[in-house]
Amino acid sequence: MRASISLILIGLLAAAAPSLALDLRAEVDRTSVPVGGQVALRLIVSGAGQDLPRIRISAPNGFDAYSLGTSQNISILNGRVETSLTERFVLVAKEEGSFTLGPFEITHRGETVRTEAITVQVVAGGAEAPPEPRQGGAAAGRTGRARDKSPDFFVRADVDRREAFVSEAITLTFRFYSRVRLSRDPEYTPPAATGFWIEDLPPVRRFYEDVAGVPYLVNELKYALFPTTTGDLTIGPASLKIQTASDNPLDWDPFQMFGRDPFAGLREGPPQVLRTDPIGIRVRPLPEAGRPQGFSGLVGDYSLAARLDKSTVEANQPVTLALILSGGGNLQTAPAPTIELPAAVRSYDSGSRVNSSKEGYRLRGEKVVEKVLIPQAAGQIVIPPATLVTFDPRAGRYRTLSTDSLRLEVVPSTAPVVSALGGREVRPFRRDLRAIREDLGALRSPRPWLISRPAFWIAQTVPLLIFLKALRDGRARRALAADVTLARARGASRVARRRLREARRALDGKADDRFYTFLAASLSEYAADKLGLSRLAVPRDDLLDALRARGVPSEVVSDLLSILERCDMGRFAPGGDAVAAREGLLGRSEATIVEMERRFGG
Amino acid sequence: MVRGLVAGCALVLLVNVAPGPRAAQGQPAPVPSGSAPGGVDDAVDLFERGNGAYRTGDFAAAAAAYEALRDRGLSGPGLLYNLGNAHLKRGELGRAVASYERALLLAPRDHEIRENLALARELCADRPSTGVAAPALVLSRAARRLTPDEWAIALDAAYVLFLATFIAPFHLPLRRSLVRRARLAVTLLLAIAAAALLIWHTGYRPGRRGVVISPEITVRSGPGTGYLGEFTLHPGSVVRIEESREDWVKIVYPPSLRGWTEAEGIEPL
Repeated sequence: MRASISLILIGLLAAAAPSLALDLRAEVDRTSVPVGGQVALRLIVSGAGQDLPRIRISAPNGFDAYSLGTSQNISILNGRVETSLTERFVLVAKEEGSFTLGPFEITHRGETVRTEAITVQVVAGGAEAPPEPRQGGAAAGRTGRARDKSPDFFVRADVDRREAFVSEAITLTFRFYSRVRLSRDPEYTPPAATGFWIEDLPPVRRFYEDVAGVPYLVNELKYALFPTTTGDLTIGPASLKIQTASDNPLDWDPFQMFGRDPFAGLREGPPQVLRTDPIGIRVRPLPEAGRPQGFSGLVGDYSLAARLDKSTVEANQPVTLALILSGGGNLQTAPAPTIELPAAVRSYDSGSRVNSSKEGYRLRGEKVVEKVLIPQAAGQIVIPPATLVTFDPRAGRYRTLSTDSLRLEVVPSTAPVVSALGGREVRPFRRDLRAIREDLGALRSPRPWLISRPAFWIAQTVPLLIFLKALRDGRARRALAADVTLARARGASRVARRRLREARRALDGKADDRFYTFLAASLSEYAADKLGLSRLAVPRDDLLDALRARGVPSEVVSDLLSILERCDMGRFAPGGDAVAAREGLLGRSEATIVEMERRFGG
Repeated sequence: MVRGLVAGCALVLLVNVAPGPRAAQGQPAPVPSGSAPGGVDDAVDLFERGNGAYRTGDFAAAAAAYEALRDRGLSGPGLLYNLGNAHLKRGELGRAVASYERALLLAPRDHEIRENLALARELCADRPSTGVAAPALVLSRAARRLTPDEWAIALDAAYVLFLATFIAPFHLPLRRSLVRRARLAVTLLLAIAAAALLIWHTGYRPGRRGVVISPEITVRSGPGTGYLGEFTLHPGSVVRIEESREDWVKIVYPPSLRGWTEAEGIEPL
């Protein structure tokens, strides 16, 4: 699109522009080059108008020639349009000697122009430093890919050995060769290596390397691989996703003059994925023959040393014994060396640490296993050698590593610490385990947790049921308290019984009218409460009528009336009845209340 | 009615503290009886032989006798404590810590178990990195002051009292504000007991934790030796067990180091 607009503008302006003389120039970036080296040749045609002729050249003697494409430049100054067309070529020197480029010439509209001849010296290989990879211009990648026999970039993966023992280190090298610059950082995917434990070996190395006479910038990554199983294993392909600039020749670039193209990202070509070939590794098991007892499984080239952090120590004070395993291999999984310590010291494992180094692209380091030793008594203690059996893959045999014996001088323990405040602060000078339990209570058998028993959860429903029943009763009681008439009716029998009890207590008080008072009250209050009438203000006849109206039989009502009248006589007439007569009256009253209770349905 | 409520609740507590089935969840069997092999006399004899071996310094024999008793289901806190002592004396730090931890689950306020466990922990090569969530640690320690059964009884009592706060006003002349305060208090107790039981269940139920017993275990990013080792642990380190897959277990070392290791290096608690 941009090219079309340019051409229209050029056409419009060219009609009004005066004619300019045609010019042709030839330029090279160097005049001396080694065999296999490159010379950049530019042929520049300039003049008025848009139809400047293209230049075709054949390969000069002693060189292979490849076109790098064409670029066009237009300038308008004071209404005059000038166009220049630059054809770029790369010439690859084939043989040693002195060669002449040109003169080159073109003919346009009857006018012939030519350049001067240029002499280039081709010297023996290696006489000149390889050039930096070229700026990722539009043509660079395309020419390299389309015409040059050497690719612009490729990847390669190698291992230092195809056959190894299990756990033996293998070095994997990945290299990315490039002779063009990329428009963005490549995306690298490391190889899949099932059956290996992998450690990367930084840093990435960059250097130049000639491949078939072509210089490449090489980026190199290294890994240490440790096979964890035996058999034929495969290191999968590593891949690299790269992106170069577009190679469209019409995509001329006015910014190239500044040496850096801010729009390079807008003209990227399609991404490419480069993959290495899978690599087969045969992993051999460690030999059974000659395998010592107590072999640790450690494979590599190691050495073992031991040291104490102090040579003299008080009794019952700690001293640290460090067992140091150093060398090249997988130290992370290295086991602790074996040591039989004398009975005069108590020992406790104090852990281990690994200090590893990847200097020189080799995985090396040391594993330090520490033990805290507490000598029990004063004297000289000899720490015997620690041992560790390893397999040396280079020698192909098992080795028993051993440390030297160490001597530890144990002096008697000093006195306890004295407090600065004066007096003696009592502090334990050692700590030991509390004694064992010897009572048979230690033998009791624990029960499973309550919350793990179903009975626990089922039992929780019992309080809930009781709660619901109590809640219902409580609510009923509260409702009863709010209805006085109903409460009196329900409580009538209880009140009557209480009055009868009081009457019985006053049974033999001859001069006392309380017997008759309580007896009359028991009957009249019972009837009033059952009928919902006032105990005081209701005339006796109304009370008896109401009883009849509620279906109480006439004979019961008559009995009631008879008893009440008898009570009246007893209260108001002098003398009163004998105790036996009173008892009879009390019995009749009780029978009457029972009969009324039956009628009221209580 | 109040009498009924009290009687019912007493019945509930009685049911709860009564001996239950021991076979559930792999719990130990009842104490064997009789003088035949496997009986009480035999167990007592084995216990005394273990104690005698310990006193004479034959810690391996003592540990074997205690282990035999434990295999018979006699895994009380006292026996586990003795077993921890025997293991520690013979240098089996991981198994010692495992025994003390088991004993502490049964008797969380036993000072001697705590002291010996603290001593064993000092010998452990690994230290949890800083950054353990302090509130979680405080809650966990508070929950472990009582056993799960003690918390269950507290939960029961709080539950009954909570219900009683609704019934009591029907029967007793109580001020409403007093009832409200009492209900709030028992609700709080109920919540604390429930939270403590939840902590026990999620963090300390059998098989939820484990102790490193191998001299060194490599914790990897996945369940297999093809995965990269990320860190190592040493005997006595207590880990949380999150998942098991064949011969591998996924563990968490506090506060948040996670990975897989071979199950044989971990003794589940």
